[in-house]
This record gives sequence, structure tokens and C-alpha cells, in this order.
Amino acid sequence: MNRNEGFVVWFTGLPSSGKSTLAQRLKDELIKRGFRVEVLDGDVVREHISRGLGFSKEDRDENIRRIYHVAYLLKRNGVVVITAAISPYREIRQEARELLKDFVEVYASCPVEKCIERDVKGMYKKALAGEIKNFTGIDDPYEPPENPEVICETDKETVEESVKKIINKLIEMGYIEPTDEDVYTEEEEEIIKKRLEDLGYI
Amino acid sequence: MKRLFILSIDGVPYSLLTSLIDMGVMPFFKSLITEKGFRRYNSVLPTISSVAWASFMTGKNPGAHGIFGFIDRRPSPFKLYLPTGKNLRSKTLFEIVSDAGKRTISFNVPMTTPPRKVNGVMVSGFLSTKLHSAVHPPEIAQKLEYIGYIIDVDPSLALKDESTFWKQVYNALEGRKNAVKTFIGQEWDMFMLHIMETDRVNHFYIHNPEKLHSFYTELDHYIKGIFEYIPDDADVLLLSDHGFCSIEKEFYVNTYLSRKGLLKFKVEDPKSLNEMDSSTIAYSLIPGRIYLNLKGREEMGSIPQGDYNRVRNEIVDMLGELVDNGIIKRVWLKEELYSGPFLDEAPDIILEPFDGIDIKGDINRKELFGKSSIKGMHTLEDAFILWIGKELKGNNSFSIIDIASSILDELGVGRPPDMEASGCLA
Repeated sequence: MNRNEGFVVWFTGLPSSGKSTLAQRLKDELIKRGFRVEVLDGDVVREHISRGLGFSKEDRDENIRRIYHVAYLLKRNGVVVITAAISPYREIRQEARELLKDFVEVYASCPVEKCIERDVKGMYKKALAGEIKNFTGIDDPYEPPENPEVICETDKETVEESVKKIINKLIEMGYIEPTDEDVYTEEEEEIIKKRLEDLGYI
Repeated sequence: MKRLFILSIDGVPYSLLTSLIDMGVMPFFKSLITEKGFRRYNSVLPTISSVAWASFMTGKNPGAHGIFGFIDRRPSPFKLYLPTGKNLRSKTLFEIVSDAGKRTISFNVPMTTPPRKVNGVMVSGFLSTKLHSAVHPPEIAQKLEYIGYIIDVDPSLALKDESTFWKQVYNALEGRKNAVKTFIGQEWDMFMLHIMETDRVNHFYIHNPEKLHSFYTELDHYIKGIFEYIPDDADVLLLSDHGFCSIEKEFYVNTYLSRKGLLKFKVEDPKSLNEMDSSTIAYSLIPGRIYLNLKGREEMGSIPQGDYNRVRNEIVDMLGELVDNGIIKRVWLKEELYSGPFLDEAPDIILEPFDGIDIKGDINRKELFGKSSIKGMHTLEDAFILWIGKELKGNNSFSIIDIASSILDELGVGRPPDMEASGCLA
């Protein structure tokens, strides 16, 4: 990595899979470590940069192109960019990966049933009632990544566990330096946790 | 100047040693005892090996070294983490002695993960997972593997495969003895070997005299074996970090706080404290560490800074019922126990347990009391120290914090000005 440049953490996942929550928590963690961080949240982008775009495949791809272009500009100026948009299509994510290069794909994996249960913005309800069309996970496709750098199983992990996974991957990839708290890899931390649990220490 | 060999034996109670000696179980240990050099002494609160050994190594209270438990929390953003030696923010005996131009060798001391770059050798303890990342200098890892040195036993085996558990315990002891044999010939001024297996055994078998006797009989043989390698020109200090007793019952502080309406969760069946609701007033980490959900400090603080003392006093008053009912021995405010640069990180309230009532931090217990597969708990006032040939202060008149300064005195190394230097020698 060119140390004068930032890097991009690209979240992808169904609506209500936890992308925005993880992005915000990751942002806090990276700011604490001294990085300049910008979150490009799908909803916010659609309100400003992509106003007027719809939810056809073409419009969705165009939305992603705008996001990765802004991410590129920010990254080039040393900013760490976290994107939190559904980005449902593999091909356009691959395009983003190729352009951005310092690209860490994080799949917020969560069964659609659980996302419906969460329904953070009440959109699933509307989609299921037929009030809105082309809603990802209901009547529009979502293509899960085949080789993401990190998979966060947001129905099984706490936010803290997921963020730790991402941080460990960023350390492993050389994007961030380990801090005092990062003595362990994720696997090692699990071993130590288990040992301490078996002894009733935690 | 004499050299010093320290044999630390985790969690061995003074009272157990004396009763085993009376029963003739530990004849070698008995032969080491010199009248004024053998004492019952105090650990620290919370009585946890990581806190106790951090206090031993630094000669400081937790407020001055920053270790308060095996698990701790960052208040904002709220995050639970496992403290290591990186979080121990003070020089340790090993560095102080190194800085004085002397050479130290240490094996297995808790809270030395990752190993520090001392003048000599440091092999980290059970907070490490792999030998190659647990050693300084790195090239000794292979030698340790060759002599069969292992970092720790798997404690879960005690419940599911007892014979393998005991095999691992004795393999670990054999490995520790071999480490002494292999490294004692090097140059050193302070050599410390830590035996962790005693703590592991006590946790699962403290209630079982037969198994305990058989293990301590073997331990006595291992201690004798280790002493055969210790050169005559070295002084020897043996000590534990806390006592042990059987658990009568566990007390779940977070369940208590929930019932009092002080701890609330966003979900019905929380998996961790991360799911606390912002209306929470107080929460607890094991064992008996209570934190107020203070605005400006905690991520979702609910108590205005100006109300801190009032709310804390109200909670202390409330906890008085636990003292009155014989559940808790004493309730402490952090400033009564700790001082130093990390006082802000300390729990706001600390519960001192009665021996036998183990204070837990579980968040999913429906009842206030219960039991688990763990049979033994640590005790504050029943650690042992045997400094062969020396005269120690009286029983329970000093704590584990006071030993480091006496070690430095004996080695002829100056005490750092911030070390709590009351000493343990008479």
C-alpha cells in the first residue's frame, strides 16, 4: 500500500443486514487509531450524489460507480473510506475492486428472514405488501460475494466481534498497525477466551 | 551480590500447605521451611492471577499498573477485551533488573504476553497460544519444543477427559523442570519459574482431598527435582499469588443489578454487555467489578457527571443489604483500594467476596445464585510466601505488592521512585 493513500472497506449485504451499523462502529475504531475516515452510506449517497437514480440494474450499477469514484478520490487523498451500500451485483463490485485496488470487501451475511424481522427502515414490509418494487432480497436479486476478505455473520456475531474480525484482517493485510489491544489474531483470541471461560475467569 | 531464584506456584494456599505438611504429604517442601521465612500473606482485589502477578512484577497497585482482570472494557466505544502484558503499563522487575545491567530468565509468569525484550530470556505464560510468539529471544522456541515444554494444559479436559488432563498436568510440570535444567547454566541474576498447574488442579479438585493429596505429593517431587538444579550461591523465594477454597455457590451480580432495575438490555436474551440499553445505571465484570454508566465516559452514559457521587453512594447503600445478608464481605470504592495514573480505568465499586461465594459477571442467569463445573475459587488472605533464610514481616501484614521492592533490595538494584516500596522483609 502507498502509505500516503487510504484504503476502502466495501460492505455489501442485504438491506438490514447490519452494514451501516458495522460501518459506523468501524469508523469509530479507525478514528481512534488516528485515521481520517469517511463513510459513504448507501442511503445518504442516494439522497445527494445519486438523486434521481432508480433501482433498475443499470441505475444500481451507476449508483455504485458514483460511490467508487468518490471513494477513489478520497482514498487518493489519504482518507479511509467505508462504503455501506447493498451493492448487490458481483460484476460492479469487481469493477470497484479493480479501480480502487486497496479494497477490502466485507460481506454482511444475514438470512433474509432475519433481515425482514429487523426491517430497520420498514422497507421489507412495504416490499412484501407490494407497495414498492425491485427490492433486493424480495423481488430483486442479491449476489453474495464469492471471495470477500471478511464475512461478518451478523445474525450470530455481536457488532464488536464483527468489527474485531475486520480490524484483524486490516492488520493482516498491512493497512493498519496492531495496537496494544491487538496481541492476538482472531483464532488466538478464541483459544484464550475458551481457556479463560473453562476456568471461570470470564 | 547474591542471585535470586523465584519459584512461583500459582494459587497454592498457605492453609493447604500447612495442613498437607502436617499430614506428611510434602516432606521436601517442609524441609525448606525456615521459621521466620514462611508466612501467610495477602493478594489483591480483585483476587485474580493476572492482577496479582502484575502487582508482584511491578510492585504497584492496579491503579498504577492498569490490570484489573482477565477481561476488561473500553468505555467508549464500548468494547470488551482481554488485557495482556501490553496493557500492563509499567516496567516490571524483569526490565528493572535488566536496566541495572543484570540478566534475568523467566518462564511462564502470567501477564508477560507478549514477551518483553529483557536482558536475558522471557517465556510468556498461558495468555500465549504458540511458543514461537511467546519467547524472547525467538531462537529459543525450538529448544523449548525439543525439551517438551508446553505453555499450558487444556483446563476443559478436567471435565471431559480426566486421564488426559492429568497427563498434560504432569507433562507441563516435567517441561518446566526441564526448562530449569536447560537454562540454569546460563548467566543470570534473577531466575523465575512459574508453575500454573496448581491453579488448574485447585479449580477442579479443591473439594477432592484424595486427588489433591496425590497431586501435591507429585508436586513435592517436582519441586525437589527443580531444587537439584538451583546453584548453592542463589537465594530462593517461593510464593503463591492467592489462596483457594471450595465454592459453596456463585453469586451473579449482573442478575442482582438487573433485578434492582439498574442494568437493562435492548434485547430479551442478551449475549453480551454490548447489548446494554442506554438507560443502564450500572453493570459488572467478573469478579465483583461494578462500573457506573457515566455520561462522558461510557458510550451510552446515562448518569450526569455531577450525579456520580450521589448515584455511587446510593448503589453502595443498596449493596449494603448483600453485606448484611452475608453474601458480600465488603463494598469498596475504587479510591479506597487503588491510586495512580489508571485509577480512571478502575471499576467504580469493588465487591470483596466471602470465601466460598464466588462473584460472577454472567448476564444470562435467571437466579441470583447458582453453581457451575468450577469447584474452587481464589481467596484474598491465604497466599503463601517462603523466602528461605530470610525474616519476613508477620502473617498478613503485607501484600503481593510489597515483595518487588524487597527483591530489588536483595539484588542490589535501586527501587524506581514510583514503586510502592514498603517491602516484605522484617
